[in-house]
Amino acid sequence: MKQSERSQERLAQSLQMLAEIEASNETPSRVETVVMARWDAMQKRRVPSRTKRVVRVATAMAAGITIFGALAWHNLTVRLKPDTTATVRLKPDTTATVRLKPDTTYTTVAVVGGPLMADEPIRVVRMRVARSVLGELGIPSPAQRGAAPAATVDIDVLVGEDGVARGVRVPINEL
Amino acid sequence: MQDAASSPDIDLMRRTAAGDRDAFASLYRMHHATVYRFARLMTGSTTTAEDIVQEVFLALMRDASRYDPARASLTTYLYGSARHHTRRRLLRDRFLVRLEDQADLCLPAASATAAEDLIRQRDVQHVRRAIVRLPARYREVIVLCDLQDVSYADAAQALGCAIGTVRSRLHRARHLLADKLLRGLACVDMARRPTVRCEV
Repeated sequence: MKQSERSQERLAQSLQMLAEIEASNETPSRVETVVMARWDAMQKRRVPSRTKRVVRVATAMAAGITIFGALAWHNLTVRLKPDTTATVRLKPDTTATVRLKPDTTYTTVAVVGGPLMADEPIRVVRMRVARSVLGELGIPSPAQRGAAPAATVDIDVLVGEDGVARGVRVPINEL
Repeated sequence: MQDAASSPDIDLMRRTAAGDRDAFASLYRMHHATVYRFARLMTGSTTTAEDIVQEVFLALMRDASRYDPARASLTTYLYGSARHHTRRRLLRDRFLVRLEDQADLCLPAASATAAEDLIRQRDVQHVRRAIVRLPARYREVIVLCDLQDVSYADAAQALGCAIGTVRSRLHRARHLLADKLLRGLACVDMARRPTVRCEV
């Protein structure tokens, strides 16, 4: 018999012996105790996790409804009817670009905060308001003079650096 | 694949996924020894094997609902999981120096005489150490096919390779193992040889 065959035979015998020895080995009982303890711990954790999931879903739904409601309300206030009045609070750093019509002549009426200073930086906010607002500001409007008035009029609100309106500018042809 | 044996496993797995403690306990009692022996032979350490058994069954309880009986039997699935955890553990502990695990050296006295017992113990120790020193891919097939009596098909499924690959790896592993044993015994014989002083 060749040496390699002998060594293979010996290996087979040794493996057989090792397999027989290993077959009698059992996991110590402490491992089962640990595993079952982990199972119990995991099952205890599972119940609150389901509750947590429900709470999370409910919170997400509430947040979604709130955001949707806020957006809907915002759209409602932006698309106001022409004869509706609204109070607008301007942030101090808000800027707006106003394109003036080249053939329009404006008049300025100071309403609050005293007269405009010469070098005072101001911002112009164009607003479309009901014509009746002009009367409240003390500006005579065609409605008061008996002419057929347009329902709304575009005016420019002059806002100072402190966010307070300094004056209202109304196109002369609207007066 | 053993369909008859795996059908109760499927039922137990379904119940385990539903949170049945008794079903999980039954699964553990049916399969813990398989995982433990595989891990013990792969790592050569009793304590590491115990840790791997824990990790495998913890993974099983977490992912019981993901088990698909159409893909593999539960035994094969557990071998695959044990292999994964063993490899991860060996990779993590590769820089550690392991102390001799005394539990590995204690063998039951089954032979007639003390001398036979000693020879048997020595041979088994050599085989065990030689197996642990084999590269992982060869060690796996030796442990599964030669020591755990797993069929080539199941071993291929557990290892994620073709049956032909299992055959070729097993052939190569046996040669490597025989070579290691031969060299190991030669070293033992050399160590036993008395020292001779030569006068020049």
